[in-house]
This record gives sequence, structure tokens and C-alpha cells, in this order.
Amino acid sequence: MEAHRLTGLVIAAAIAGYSWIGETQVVQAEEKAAASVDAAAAKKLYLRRSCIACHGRDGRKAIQDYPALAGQRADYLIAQVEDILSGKRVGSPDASGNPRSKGMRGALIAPDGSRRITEEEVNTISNWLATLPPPELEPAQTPLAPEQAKAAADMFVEKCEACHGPAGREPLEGYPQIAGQKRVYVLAQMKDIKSKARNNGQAESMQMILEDMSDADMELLASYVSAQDPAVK
Amino acid sequence: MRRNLMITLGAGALALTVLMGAGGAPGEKTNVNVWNAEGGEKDEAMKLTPNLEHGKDVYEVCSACHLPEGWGSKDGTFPQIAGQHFEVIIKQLADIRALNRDNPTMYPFALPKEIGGVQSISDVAAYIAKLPMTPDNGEGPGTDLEHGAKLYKDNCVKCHGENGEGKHEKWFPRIHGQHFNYLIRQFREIKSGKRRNSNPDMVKQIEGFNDRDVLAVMDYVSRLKAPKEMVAPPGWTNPDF
Repeated sequence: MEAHRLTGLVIAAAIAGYSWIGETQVVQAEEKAAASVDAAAAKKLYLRRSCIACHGRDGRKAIQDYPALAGQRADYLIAQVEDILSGKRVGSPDASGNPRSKGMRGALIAPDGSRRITEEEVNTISNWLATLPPPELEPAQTPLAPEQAKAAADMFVEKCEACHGPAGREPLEGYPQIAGQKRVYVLAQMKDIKSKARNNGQAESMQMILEDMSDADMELLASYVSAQDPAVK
Repeated sequence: MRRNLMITLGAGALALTVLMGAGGAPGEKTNVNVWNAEGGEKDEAMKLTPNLEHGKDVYEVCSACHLPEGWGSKDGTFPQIAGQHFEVIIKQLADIRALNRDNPTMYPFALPKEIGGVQSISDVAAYIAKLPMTPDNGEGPGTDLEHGAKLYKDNCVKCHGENGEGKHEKWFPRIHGQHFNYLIRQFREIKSGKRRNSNPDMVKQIEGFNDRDVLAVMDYVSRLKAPKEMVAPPGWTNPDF
């Protein structure tokens, strides 16, 4: 009797499961088809709008101290591009004396002040980048000793996790996913936000946390964050 | 030990170059207007034998903005560089990376860590110089061409030539076939001193130009045609990329 009921349940579950799987597969296939069409168009835009020059193929091979974009939250990407274009987001100057954001504006704003990229294109590119796998972790220049790594992990939980999520992998809306981001970029952003050179978006809430943080602690956190595999959940 | 000494000497030489403010190595921004300093990477690159195959590899990063064809954009954000004189490309690239010409968008790519040393400057310049030019550059409104023609004849011919072909041996650029919007932007930046590596003779020559003059003469220039054999057929795409 018991066994009978169980068998019945299993069969019912199997039928339900089968049709559920069947439905999911169809939906997934449809989504995949839609996504692949968008991906081709988005990738073309990514090339046409010169994004690839600094951020590398598929946003996964950024040069110098520019950020990796693959796997980043789309809402965050969109907000940052718009802030850079409007001049709301700037940063500390590079060796040429210009804020890093100026080069991006120069590529995307025409001499007459008009935009060379529409809002819709920014959305398309950002949504595409968000679906891409983040780049492989860069080999640490100076790997943290076990006790340093422990101290960094503890500090991260205390100072950063509330907004950026565990190990920087699951940020709140409007915040960036930072696990596995390039160390040089993470550190530059912390310093720029602390000095208010960068003052857009959620920078203000981070400024309170960075106010009393030493350079050594920022370096420690940047090393920790950049060493976290974004794919691990 | 010996290696350390070499590094020290190398660093010393670099520091000295920067201090001397030569037109050469990547260095500190000076805010000084220098047209054509002696020495540095510009002079070095001129003497090298370019390697076109490597120039093609170097050009890949340039193509993200200047396009695989080197044709730039009509809105004037990126100039056409295809077909420009070898010497002019070397000078501008060396000037941008030595911070003699401000270009925040291009600066990161001009650096040795992105494109390589002085040999790369020579290689990519040779590659760009031999690219065919766009058959469809951006032109001005065409409403004041007579005035533009007269201004050109009186002020520009001596250096840029009857047909805008420039003078490669003197680093005077080819300006025919260039996008109108890029021409007016550069003209204004040269006039105001914002473009720091401009020729002081030109700055003086155009001192008295008013807005109408600028638009008219650049419109005229944008309509000057490069020699037929230098221009690509319509619809040409660069097979190298």
C-alpha cells in the first residue's frame, strides 16, 4: 500500500517533471535564440562604438587599469556609461593629466557635443556584457599570505559585504559585482571614491566606509577582491 | 649586477630625455608648445626600416577607432589617417605619446606597453601610409567656396600644396580628403594653441581668421581630391582585418 502510493507519486512527479522539463527546454531554446540574435548585434555595436579598444574582446581583456566588463550587472554598466557621458563620473588623472573617463567621452561624444552612442545601444551592449562569463582570474602579483587573506576576508565581511555581497559576487541593485575584477582598477576606484575624485552613483555611501581606511587596508582588500572567483556561488 | 647597472643607466637616460623636454620619450606633461623638437622617438623612427607585417599587427588596436580602413568618422571624432605621409604619422604618434600633443582618447594606446617601442611607430606608420583613402570623406556645406578658395591660395598653398598634398619631408600633413568636421576642430585647436605641437608659422598665418574664414577654407580643403590612385573604390573593406 505504502509502496503503491509511493510509486504513484513517483510516476506523477515524473510526468509533471517531464512536461515541466519539456516546457523549460522550449523556453530556454527560445531565449537562447533571442539571445544569440541580440548577442551578434550587441557584439557588433561593441566593436563599432570602439569599446573593444580599452575593454578588450567581449569585455574580458581590458588594457592597463581599465575594468573588465564581462559578467557585470547590466544596470550598473548602463548607469556608469551614462554618468561618464554626462560628466558625472570622472576619476583621477592618468599620466597625460586627463581623467581616465575623458578618453571614453572623447570616443563617444562627437566634436559638436552630440552622442555617438544612443541610450538604446548602451542598454543593448550592457545587457549583452552582463551575460558573458567574467575573465579568468589574473595571477596575483603578490599572493596574500594565509593570515593576510583571513584578515582581508574578515574586513571584507565587515566593510564591503552588505552592498557587494559575499566575496563581492552578489551586489545589491546599482552596485557593481567586484569579485575577480582587476586589482589595479579596484584599488584606483577605492582611492578615487575616498578622495571624491569619483563621486557618482553610490559613491557617497562608500565614502563613509573609506573615510578612515588606510592605503594598506585598501590594497589588502583590492588583492582579496581580485582573487575571488566570480563564478563560484 | 651588470643588469642592474644597465637598468639604472636606462632609467637615467629616460629621466634625462624627459628633463630636456625633447620631442621624444614618453614623459611628463609640460604644457609647453613645441612644434618639432630635435631628437627623441620621432627622429629615431624615421631612420628605421619599417616592417609592414608587424605594422598590420600593431594597427589592430588603432582600428577600433580609426576603422580597419583607416578612414575615421565623418563627424570628426576620429580623423582619416589612411594615406597620410609616413613622416607625419610618426611625428603625431611620437608627439602624442611624448605628451607634446594632448589626446586623452588615444593616449593609452600610444604607449609603448600597448603598441611597443620605436620600431612599432615606424611599422604602423608605414602600414597606415599605404592604406587607400576613403572615396567618401565628410565635406562642408559648400556655401562659401569662393571665399575658401581665395583664403587657401593666399595662406595655405606654400606648405600644404596646391592640392592639399602637404610636404612629407617637412612633416606638413596631407589634408585633402580629410573629414570637414575634423579639419575645423584641428584648425580651431591650432589657432587657440590647444594643439600644442602645431607649427608656429601656421598659428601666426591664421591669427586673423574669423569664424566665416575658418569654415570657408576648411570646406574648400575637404573638397580637394587626393590623386585617384590613392583612393579606394567605393565599398572597399580592408582584407587584412
